[in-house]
Amino acid sequence: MNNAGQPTQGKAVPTVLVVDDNKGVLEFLVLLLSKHGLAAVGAISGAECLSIVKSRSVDLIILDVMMPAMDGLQVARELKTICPAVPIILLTARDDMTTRAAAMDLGIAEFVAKPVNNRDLLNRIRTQLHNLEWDKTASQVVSKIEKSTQPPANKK
Amino acid sequence: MLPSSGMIGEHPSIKKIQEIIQRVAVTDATVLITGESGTGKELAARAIHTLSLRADRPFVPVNCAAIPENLLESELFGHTRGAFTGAHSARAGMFQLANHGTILLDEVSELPLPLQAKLLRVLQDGAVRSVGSDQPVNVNVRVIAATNRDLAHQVEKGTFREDLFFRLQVIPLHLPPLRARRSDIPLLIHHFLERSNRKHGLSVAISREAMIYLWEYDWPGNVREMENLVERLVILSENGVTDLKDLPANIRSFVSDKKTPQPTLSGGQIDLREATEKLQFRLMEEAMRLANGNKSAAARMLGLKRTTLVAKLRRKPSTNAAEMSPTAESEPFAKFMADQGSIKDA
Repeated sequence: MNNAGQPTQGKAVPTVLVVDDNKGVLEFLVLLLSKHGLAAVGAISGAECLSIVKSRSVDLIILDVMMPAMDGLQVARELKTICPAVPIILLTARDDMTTRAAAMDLGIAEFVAKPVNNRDLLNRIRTQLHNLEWDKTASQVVSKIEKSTQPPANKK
Repeated sequence: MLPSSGMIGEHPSIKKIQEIIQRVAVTDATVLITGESGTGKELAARAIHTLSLRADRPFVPVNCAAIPENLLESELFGHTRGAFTGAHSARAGMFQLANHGTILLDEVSELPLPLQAKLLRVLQDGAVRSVGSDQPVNVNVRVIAATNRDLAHQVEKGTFREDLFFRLQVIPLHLPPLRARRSDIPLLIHHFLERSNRKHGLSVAISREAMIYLWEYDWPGNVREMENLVERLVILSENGVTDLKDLPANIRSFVSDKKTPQPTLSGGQIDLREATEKLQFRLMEEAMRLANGNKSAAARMLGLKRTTLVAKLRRKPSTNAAEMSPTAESEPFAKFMADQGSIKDA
C-alpha cells in the first residue's frame, strides 16, 4: 500500500494515471500528457483505476467525475485509503456546488472543469509534480539531518 | 493549537516541513528557505530559532532588498568611526547584534556580488570585519537565508556565487505555494478566522459556498494574502456571516476565469464577435452561479431582461476545436517542468 503512495525515485519521469469512461477524452488526455514528456497511463473505469494503483506506483491521478458504476468521487474516496499521498486532480463537466463541496471535503488536490483548458490543466499538473519533487528532497534532508545528529545522540 | 514549527497544515508536504524544522533547529546548520512570496519564510526561520538552543538570544531579520546597496555592508557588518562620510561614531552591524543568536538574510538573492564574497568569508571564518576596520571580530551566529528566487538559476546566470549558494544551502527548506496544498485551505481559513474573531472580539462565520470559492482560488499571494483577506472579511462583515457576495470580485470570478482562457491576439488574429460572445456567456454563467440558478436574479445582476438572458443562454458558443487539441510539438519532461508558465496567466 505504501509503495503506491510513494513518488517514483530518482529522476524518473512521473507516471500520471488518467481515468475517464469516455474513450475519446481518455485518448486525448493520454496523448496530451505524453506530448509533454510524462508517462501517461489510461484507465477506462473506476474499477480499472483502483486495480492499477494496487499493482503499481503512480505519482498523480487525473480523475473524471461522471462515470457509470463507480463515479469519480467514490473512486477518490477509495484512493484516499489506498494511496493517500497521491494527489488527485478531479476533472469534471459537473461543476455544481455539491460536487465541488464533496471534492473539497475529500481533500482533492485540484478541481478542473470540462471543457479542459489545456494550459491551465498542464500548469496544475506541473505544480503538483514540482511539489512531489520537493517532498522527495525533503525526505532526503530529514535523513541527512538524522545522520549528522546521530553520533551525539548515541553517546547519551 | 499552533504547532511549534509555526507552519499550519495537514498536507504531507507541510508535515515534512514541520519535521525538518523540528530536527534542524537543534543543529547549527545553515538553512536556505525558498518559496513564493507570502508562503511564510520568515515564520519558518523564527520557528527554527525559537526551537533552537539559541532561543533566548537575538533573532535578527535583515531584508537584503530593502537596504540601499551602499549602506548594506555597514548595516550587515557595522562600521568604525570615520569609516565613511557621515560615520560619526562606530556602529555594530546586524551580525554583531545577532551574536549567539540567529540572523535571517531575507531576499538573499539581492545581495550584490562584492557583498556575496564578504558574506562567504564570514560564513567560512566565523568572523566579521566592520567597514573601515582591519580587525576581524569573531561572531557566533546561526545563518538562515531566504529567497523567493531560483538561486540555482541565478548561479547559472552568474549573478549569484556558486560557492556561497552551496554554503547557504546546507539544509534546503522549500515552502510550497498554497495552491500546491489546496487541501489545507479550509483549515487555514478557519485558523485565521478564529484569530481575527478573537482579535476584534467578533464571531464571524463563513458560509459553505464562500468556503468552496476560497478553496478553489489559487492564492497568488499565498498564506499572507489569505491572512489579510480573512481579517478584512471579519472586519467588514455586516451580519456575522461571510457569504459569496462578500468575497472580492477577483475570487468570485476566478473559477470561471480559469475555465476559459483569456483570448489574446497572440495568434495574429482573433474572431472578435466569437470572443465577445464567449465573454458574455462566461459572465452569464457566473451570474447564474451567484444567483443559485435563479434566472430573474441573474438577469438583474447583468442589467438584462429575464427573457433576454434566457434567450442568450440557449445560444451557448461552441468550444473551439483547436483549444482541445494537444500541442503538435512533443517536448521532453525536463522542459515541461522547467516551464515557468504561471497559473495566473493560463
